[in-house]
Amino acid sequence: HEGRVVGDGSWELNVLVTDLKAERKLRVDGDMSIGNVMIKLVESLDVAMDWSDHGFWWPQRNSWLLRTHWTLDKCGVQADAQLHFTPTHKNLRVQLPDLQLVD
Amino acid sequence: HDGQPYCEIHYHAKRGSLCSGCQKPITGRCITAMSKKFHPEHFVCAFCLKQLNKGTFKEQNDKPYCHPCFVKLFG
Repeated sequence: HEGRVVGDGSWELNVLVTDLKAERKLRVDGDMSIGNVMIKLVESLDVAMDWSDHGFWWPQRNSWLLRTHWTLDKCGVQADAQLHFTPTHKNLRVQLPDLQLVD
Repeated sequence: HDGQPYCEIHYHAKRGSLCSGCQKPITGRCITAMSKKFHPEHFVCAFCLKQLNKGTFKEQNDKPYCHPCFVKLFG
């Protein structure tokens, strides 16, 4: 749009895409759902890969934003948040009672 | 096409039988969805890239999604 409205309530959300080791700034507003932020992010990355296991991890709050129909406002995400877009399933090394280690 | 000679790509472009996924001609099985044509293997969910079967996809902003991804993204 020409002559974009300043102060339309939108702000920049910082996201680290861990698979690509890339930071992205997305223009969002508090009414956007987590799912819509994901779509916007994936479209801006334009990388053909399976993103279905990815979610937003919020390191400062030590929590996942898994309720994708919730809005950013409802999750309490504001412009100071640094989110990670990262796979929800990761490798884990477990030591069994017989002391053997398995990945 | 219409009595005129065309190379293969432009022939299919004129006939509307280029795949919207790979932009190459479709000669075998073809999926028509969202007023576009696709090779079956190129009609995939925009989020997980798994192949979609016609009739079992959901559309949002002109992009196709499988049911699980649609529920995840759009609730």
